[in-house]
Amino acid sequence: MNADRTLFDGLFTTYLVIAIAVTLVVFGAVALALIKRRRKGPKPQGREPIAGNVPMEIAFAALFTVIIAFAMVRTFTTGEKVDAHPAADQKVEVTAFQWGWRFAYPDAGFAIEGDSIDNPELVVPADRQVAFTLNSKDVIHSFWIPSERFKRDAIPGRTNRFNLVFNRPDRTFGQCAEYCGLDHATMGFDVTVLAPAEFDRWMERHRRASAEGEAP
Amino acid sequence: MTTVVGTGADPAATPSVPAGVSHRRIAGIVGAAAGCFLVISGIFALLMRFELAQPGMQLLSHQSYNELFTMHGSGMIYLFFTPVVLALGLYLVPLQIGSQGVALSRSALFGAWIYVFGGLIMFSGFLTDTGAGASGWTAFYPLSGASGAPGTGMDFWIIGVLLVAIGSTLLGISIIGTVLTRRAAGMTMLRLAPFTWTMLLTAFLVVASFPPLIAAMALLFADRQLGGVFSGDGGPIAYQHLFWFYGHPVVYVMFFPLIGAVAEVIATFSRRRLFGYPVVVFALLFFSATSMAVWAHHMFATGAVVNNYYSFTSHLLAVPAGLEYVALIGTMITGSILLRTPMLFAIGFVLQFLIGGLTGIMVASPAIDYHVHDSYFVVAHFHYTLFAGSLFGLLAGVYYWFPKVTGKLLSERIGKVHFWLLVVGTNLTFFPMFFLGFDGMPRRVADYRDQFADLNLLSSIGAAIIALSMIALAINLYRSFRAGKASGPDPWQGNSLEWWGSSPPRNGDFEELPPIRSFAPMLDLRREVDTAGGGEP
Repeated sequence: MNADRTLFDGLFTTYLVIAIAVTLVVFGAVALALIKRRRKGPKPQGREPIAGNVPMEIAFAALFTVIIAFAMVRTFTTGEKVDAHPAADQKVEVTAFQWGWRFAYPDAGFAIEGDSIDNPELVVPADRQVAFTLNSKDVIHSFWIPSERFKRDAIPGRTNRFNLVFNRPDRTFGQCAEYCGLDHATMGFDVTVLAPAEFDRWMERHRRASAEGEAP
Repeated sequence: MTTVVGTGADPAATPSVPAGVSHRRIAGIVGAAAGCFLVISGIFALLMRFELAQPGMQLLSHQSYNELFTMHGSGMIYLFFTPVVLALGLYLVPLQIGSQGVALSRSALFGAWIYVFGGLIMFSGFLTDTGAGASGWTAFYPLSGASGAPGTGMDFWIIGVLLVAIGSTLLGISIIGTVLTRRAAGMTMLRLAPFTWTMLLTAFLVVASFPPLIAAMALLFADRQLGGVFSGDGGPIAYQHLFWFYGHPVVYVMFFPLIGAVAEVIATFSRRRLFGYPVVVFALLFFSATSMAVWAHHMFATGAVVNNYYSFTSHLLAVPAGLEYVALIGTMITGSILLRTPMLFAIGFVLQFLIGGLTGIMVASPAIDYHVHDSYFVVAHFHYTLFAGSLFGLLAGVYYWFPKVTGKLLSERIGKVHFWLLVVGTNLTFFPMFFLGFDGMPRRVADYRDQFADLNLLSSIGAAIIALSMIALAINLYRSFRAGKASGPDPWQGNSLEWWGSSPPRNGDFEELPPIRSFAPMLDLRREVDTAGGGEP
C-alpha cells in the first residue's frame, strides 16, 4: 500500500473518538464533583475520607493500558501501510531548496521548478501509485500536501522515499512545513491531480517539448 | 574571609544546618528574572498575533517575525518556564521538608546568575546588526550553521542557551541535594509533599537531559566557527537526536512541578489529603523514567528513526498521566470543595491540559503525525499543554503560595476576573489553531493563505483577551504588595509543612516541628487538635 488519505482518516477517527470520550468522562466527573461536593463555609468535621483505593487504581491503569494498546495496534498496522513504498510506474524526484521546489519526472526527462514568489506546480495522476524521492540542496525542508494528510522531511545528505496515491482529480496545494529561514512562509506549491488518461497526455506533451528544448 | 550571606540562623541554635545562601534569595533572583523574560516573550507573542490577524504583511517583516517567534519560544522555554519552576522548587522544597535552606546553595546562586547572564546574552542579539537568533528555539542544523544563520545574533543565542542550561543544571543539582540530604527528622521519602516529589523528579530530568543540550550548543558553536562537526551527511539528524534528548524531557520539566502544585491546591481546597498518594508517586516515577525514552517522536517525519519504538514509549505515557488524573479527580469527588481562586486555576489546569494531553496521544501516532507535525495543530497542542495547562498550574501556585511568600492575600474578586478572562482568551486563541493546522497552515510563518484568515483573526482576538487578563493579574499583585490584607501563617489550611512556619517564612521556623507521620503533617495536626477539642474520634 502507500500513504493515502483514507488510511489517515480511519486512524484519526479512532483517536478522535477516544479523545472525545475521555474528555466527556473527565469533564463529567469534575462537574459531578463540583455539584455534589461543593461546601461553602467551614470544613466539615468527622471521619477522614478514604485515603485511596489501590485495587480501583490498578483497574484504571489496566483500562488505560487496554485503550492505549488498541490505539497502538491501529497505529502500527496503519503505519506499515503508509510507510510502504513499492516500486511504482510513476516516479517524481523532489528537490527542496531555499526557497522553492523542483519536481523532476525522470522517465520523461523534464522538471518543473519554482520559488517562493512564483510557486511551482506538481502534476500527478489520480488512482496510481506515485513513487517520490525527496532531497534538499541546503537546509531541512518538509514536503507537505495537507489534503493527502502526509508530509516528509527533505534533509540534506539523505534521500527519503515514499509513495502516495491521489484518490481523485483535484487542485490543491503543498507547503514547506519545516522552518527553513527567511521565505519559509511562502515556500508553497500547487498540486494538480489529473485523471490518468489526461495525465498521460500531459506527460507526453512535456516529454516532446523538453526533447525539442522549448516550453510546452 | 567569609562570604556567608545568611540564613542568619544562629549557628549555635541550629548546629546541623551549615550557613549558606538563603534559598529564598536564590529563588527571588531566578523568579524575578523569569518574570521579566515572561513579560518580554509574551509581548513578542502579542506582536506575532497582531501580524497574523490578517493575511499579508502589516506590522513586521518576515525577518523580524522569524526573530520574534524564535525569541518567543526560546524566552518561554529556556528563560521562563524551566527557571521559574526551579525557582518555585528552591523556595518551597526546603519549607516542605522542614529545612532551613538548600544544599549546595553557593553553586545554586552561581547557577542563578549564570542563567540571568545567559538570558541577557541571548536577548542582546537584538542589538547586533544581523538581528537576534532566528533559527527557531530548536535551532536545527544546517539552518543554524554558519551559512544558514550568519551573524553574531545567532552566536549570542547559542552562548545564551549554553549558559542558561548550565545554570539550570546547577539549580537542579541543588534541589536534588536538598531533598536527599536536608529532610527533617521523620520526613521519609514516602512522606514528601506531592509538590516536592514532582520537583525532585523534575530536577533529575534536568540533570539527565540538560548536559546533552550543553553539548549540542558547544558543538554547534564549534561547527559555526571551525566547521566539520555536523556538516557530514548524518549531521542534521545527529543534531536533532542531541537536541530532542534534551527537548522532550524539558517538556515534563515544565509540567511535573505544576501538576504537583495543582495536586497541593486541589487537596487543600477539597479539604482532604491527596487521593491515592503512593500510586501518584509510583506513576510519577514511571512517567519520568519513560519520558527519557520518547525523544525521537519529534522526528517521525524525518524518516530516519524507528518510529514504532518511539510511538510505543510515547503512548505508554498515557497510563501514568491517566493515574495522575484519577488522583486529582478522586480527591475532588471524595472531598469537600471550596472554590477559591487557586482552586479555579487548578481545575482550569485539569480540564484544559486534558486537551493538550489527548492531542499529544494523537501526535504520538506516526501516521497521524505525518500530517499534523510542524503545523498549527501542533502549535495548538503544545500551547494547550504549556499555556492552558502549565501556566494555569503555575497561576494556581501563584495564588496559593502568594500569601506564603508575602504574608498578604490577593484579591479574590480580581483573581476570578483574571481566571475567567484567561479561560476565554486561552481557548479563543488556541482552539482555532487545531483547525488551522489540520487544514494546512504550517507553523512558524508570518503570512498564510487567504482561506485561513477568519480563524487567525479569532485567535488574535483571543490573544488580546489574554493580554487583558494579565493586566488584571498585574493589578492584583500590585495592590496586594502595597496594601494587601494580612494572610496569617496559614490562610488556606494547607496540608504540607510549608504552612507550619510564619508567612513570609522566617529563619528558625523549623527549630520546632510538628510530628511528621504522613505526607500531610499539617492536616494530621489539625485533626489531632479537632479530636482533642471534642470532635468525633
